[in-house]
Amino acid sequence: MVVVSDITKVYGQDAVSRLIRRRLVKALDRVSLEIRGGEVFGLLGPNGAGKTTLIKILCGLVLPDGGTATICGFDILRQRTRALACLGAVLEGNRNVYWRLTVKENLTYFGHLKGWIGRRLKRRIAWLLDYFGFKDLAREPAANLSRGWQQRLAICVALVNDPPILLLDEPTLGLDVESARSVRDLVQRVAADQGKTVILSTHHMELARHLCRRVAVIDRGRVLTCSDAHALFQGASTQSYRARVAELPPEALERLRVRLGSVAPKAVIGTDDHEVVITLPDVRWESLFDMLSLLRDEGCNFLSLSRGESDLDEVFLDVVRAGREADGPGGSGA
Amino acid sequence: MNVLTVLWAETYKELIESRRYTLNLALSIIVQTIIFMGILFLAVSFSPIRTPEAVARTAEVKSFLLIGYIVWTFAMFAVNNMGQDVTTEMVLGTFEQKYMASVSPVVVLAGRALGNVVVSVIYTGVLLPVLILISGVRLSIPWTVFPVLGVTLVGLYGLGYILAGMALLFKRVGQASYAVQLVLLFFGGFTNPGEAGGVVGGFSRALPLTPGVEVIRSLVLDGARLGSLVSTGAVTRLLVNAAAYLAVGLAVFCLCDRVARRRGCIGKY
Repeated sequence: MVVVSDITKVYGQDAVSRLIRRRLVKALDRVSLEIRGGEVFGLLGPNGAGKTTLIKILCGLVLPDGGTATICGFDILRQRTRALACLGAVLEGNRNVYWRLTVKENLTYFGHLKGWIGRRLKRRIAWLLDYFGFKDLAREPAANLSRGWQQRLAICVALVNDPPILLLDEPTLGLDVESARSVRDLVQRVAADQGKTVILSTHHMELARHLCRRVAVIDRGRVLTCSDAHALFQGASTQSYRARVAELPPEALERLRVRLGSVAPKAVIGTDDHEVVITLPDVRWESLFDMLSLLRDEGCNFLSLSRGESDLDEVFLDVVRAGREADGPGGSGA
Repeated sequence: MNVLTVLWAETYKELIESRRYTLNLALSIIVQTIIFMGILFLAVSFSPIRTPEAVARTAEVKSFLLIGYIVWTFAMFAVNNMGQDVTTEMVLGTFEQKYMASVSPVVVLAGRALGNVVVSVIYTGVLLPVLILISGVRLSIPWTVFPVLGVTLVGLYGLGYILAGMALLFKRVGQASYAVQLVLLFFGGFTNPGEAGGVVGGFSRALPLTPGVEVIRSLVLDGARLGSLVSTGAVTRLLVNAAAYLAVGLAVFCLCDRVARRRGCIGKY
């Protein structure tokens, strides 16, 4: 459905930028992805990772320096208008709709821009108004809608020509919890009912876990991992025990580390603000008792013991950190 | 088919937005009227001796200025809106959606221009009677004025494409379009290049407004026939001028579009 091959983008390479010695920024570095029809695909990454650049290349708004991207078999560079007919997009930080126009006028206008006219467009708009819950708001100017409903309208407008692919760049950015959840549920419904391919760029892990079948983690313009979302987030569902004890002298800490390694090899010892934190990613009682006996034997001064789940964000950060360590120090400068 | 649909979409939206901003449109007519009154006052002040010849001459000057001013009003719409609209849409955050239309951005902007012409025709339809009333001149407008005005607008929108292209790269082009409007006003709308020789005359004739204004003045004030103006070469000059501005405008816009997409700054503000 969407095939991205070796896409590279370096900003600051044009003649004027070179003349004023603008810093080169490598936004994408030989990125390759294949997104299958009907799946919800997540592009995850920190700010400045290159997600928006990739989305904008797919929208024909940014020209890549190398590589190719095809949408429904159409090359975005050579067959731009045919490729664009296959996708609708909601871009980050944009209004995406005209606030002075009503809901229906926005749909009509963008429908025309996408080449739809007459009864076909009217039928489509009537269906969209009903499906997106805009039936009673059709004559309402977009400016009068709440932020969440404006975002809902932007998604509605992106689907006005019934494209097989929906691109969403940070769709829940700036929304309150309720609106974000509503948008999330809407995207899920669109993907499930309509069989749309959804490409979702976000740095909200919960959103990605909820919606995506597969995810790619991007950082500094490189794809660090592209895998099944379930597999990536599996670590996050691992429960663990966390014991906090008072600060230990270095030799006692080292002894504890060695002994704990033989009793509970998966345990991780860290220090944090005059405390020692021992995380045991193993919820069996025996392992817990072994650890507690050891801490008592070592004369540790207990502060707390808790049981919890790993943070989704931690899983994401682990992937990013591992990528950066493999990459070595440096920014996104080319 | 897509091209026509997009042209219609842009015209329709332009009309809706103009209706929603009626007050602004009305105020703009008042401002235009004030400017014209000021210009008339200056023109009358230059002929203080009230001899019959001077009065006749003043009436002639008024008609001369009125035609220049009306055509300049169309030019103002073309120049101001093409560049400014791109900037405004970038600020609003709707420009990138436009860029993803089923046709090229050149066609989307052409639709915008067409919508603009429709609005400017309505606007001028209100402004012209007001100005005629104030200036006290009598004008008989033959139908041949309209195709000539159409060709003149083609050249002016070519200039508009240049400003729109600049807006893609430099974002704020308000001062550039203001400068162009002033140049068109003083060197295109109000001057008589036939009388102004040398560099000023040459410069004036090279502007996209002047050949059109000259032909329209001949049609309205001198009662000339379009056929006779073809034989004098005035119509040919107008056609060549309009075609040249349109070609340059499209070329500049396409170049700016490519550079902006290479820089990744379409829609950024």
